[in-house]
Amino acid sequence: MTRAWDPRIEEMPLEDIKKLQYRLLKTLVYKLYSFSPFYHHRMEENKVHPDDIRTLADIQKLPFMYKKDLRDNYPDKIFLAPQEELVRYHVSSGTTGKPTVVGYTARDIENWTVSIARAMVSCGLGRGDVIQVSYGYGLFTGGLGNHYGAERIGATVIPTSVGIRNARSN
Amino acid sequence: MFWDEKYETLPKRDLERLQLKRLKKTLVHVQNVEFYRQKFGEAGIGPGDIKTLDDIRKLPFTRKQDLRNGYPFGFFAVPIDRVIRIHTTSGTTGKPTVVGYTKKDIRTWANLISRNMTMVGLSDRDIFQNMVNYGMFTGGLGFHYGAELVGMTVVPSATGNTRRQVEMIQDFGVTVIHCTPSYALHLAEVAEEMGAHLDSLKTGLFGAEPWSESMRRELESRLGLTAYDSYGLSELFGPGVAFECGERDGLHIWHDCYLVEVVDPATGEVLGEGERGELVVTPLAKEAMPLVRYRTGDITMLKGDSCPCGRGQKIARIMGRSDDMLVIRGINVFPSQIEHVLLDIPEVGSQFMVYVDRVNHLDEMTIDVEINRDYFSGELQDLARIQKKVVKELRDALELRTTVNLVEPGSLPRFEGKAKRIVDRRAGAL
Repeated sequence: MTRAWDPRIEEMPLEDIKKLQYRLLKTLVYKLYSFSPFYHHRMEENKVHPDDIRTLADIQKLPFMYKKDLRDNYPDKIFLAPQEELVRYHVSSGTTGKPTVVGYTARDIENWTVSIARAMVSCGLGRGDVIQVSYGYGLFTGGLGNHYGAERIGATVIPTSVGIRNARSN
Repeated sequence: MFWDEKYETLPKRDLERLQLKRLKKTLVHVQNVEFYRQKFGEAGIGPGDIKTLDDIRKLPFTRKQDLRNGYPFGFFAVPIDRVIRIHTTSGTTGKPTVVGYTKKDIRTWANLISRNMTMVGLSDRDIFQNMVNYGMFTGGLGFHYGAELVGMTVVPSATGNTRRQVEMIQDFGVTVIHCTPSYALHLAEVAEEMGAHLDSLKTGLFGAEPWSESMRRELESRLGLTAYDSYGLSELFGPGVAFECGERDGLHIWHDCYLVEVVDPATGEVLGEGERGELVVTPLAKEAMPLVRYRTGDITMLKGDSCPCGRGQKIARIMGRSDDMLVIRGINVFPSQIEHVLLDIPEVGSQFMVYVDRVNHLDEMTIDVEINRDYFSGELQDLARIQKKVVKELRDALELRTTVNLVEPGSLPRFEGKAKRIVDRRAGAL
């Protein structure tokens, strides 16, 4: 029985994965430098240009990013996609008042769903399984994230969310 | 604006032809369910005996109690591996009603919600805050999938933390909210307390409990939005069954997916346009859990006039229930559920009274129950323990916070015949 949702990617030789990663990283860095004021500024500050990224290891030339950066740019100043392309916001509770907001395009939701589908299939799950998702649904990513993944692999999803004790044991 | 103009505006003759085709298919499909094989057998009727839409009157009704008796999967017409979702609604005696969905059901349901949202002028430019329970309650995921299909930005805020809800509306520039009308009023109050202006809001979608025209005016003036009534029930997918259009004079029910009758709740006799009775629905596009002549328990009437928007026949806004079901903060509660919980607690008697009030625009349920002398030591702390236990057991069973008063044995009214244990004091509150 197959244990891969997407064998082409999941069983790709390491060398090819690295090539793919490099290609995606390169595109990402160019895109951020060109279109994101936040990243453009950050890269200038650290005197690094997209052309400096010539191997995967060159990622070390890029500055780190911290949770504080996300909070400082509340709610959506750091987003690359325009608002009309966003299909979802999730929010994680902040320790210092303002929470952290994350936005998703339709393609983000698709990639996220597929990554969970891969994980579930790698554990041997699939159609015929009944999956009870007992993470909080709503702003917390655990509920809807796992829900979409479980639905994608064709399992029967019971979206109990959290908080109903007895109903679960019935 | 239309989401699916062809099906939303089908001319009467084409619609009836489609309905009959889908009805026949449904009646064959329900033969996969033991309950229907038996019922049809008893009535001496087969799917082939239905030649016109009116022939549906020959078929037996399906009641909520039938669904409960089928717990958990007795009404599924497809193998469980084709069911990709299960929702439940609270039942009267502990066991909930289970509803199942195939992949196609989930798609059909999302499309109906998309029709409703498009009908009231919403589009992919809108930012939608979904302030209802996610999880087992169909209102959360139902609207979520519909809004996502339209291409809106969805803020899945769920319920609770109202100050945070207000902040998100402001910070994200939310244009549309969905919640119960009573929660919307609470939101307005909190926003006013905070001195927050919700200028970005333009549309409110309100459902899961009946609400009045004066409530509509109140919500519209305090939240600065246009309010629309939404109707649905989990047995018919969930929300999205019927919805108001811009005319806001009755709700368009989607006749290509739901065959509608209004019957006398006592006799089951089919009523005509303008006659008030119980809504009975035969879903025409449900795969996992098809139903025949489902008694919704909701009181409404078919409206006679055609609508300028071009869509089909409307039903009136829901006027009440034909049974004793209560809707508390959007959650269905049957008095028998409360009885069931209390009977399992030896420290209290079986007599009880339920009071429902609206406090700060939110439903509050208070339950008076008699203490059982055999279990009561006379200590005050004992009383507190028992009270806490009853509150906890009720919360686990109903998913609702209640206030419990323990009273002297023999102090509650006894009833001869039909007990009147429910005092709903919300009427007239708004």
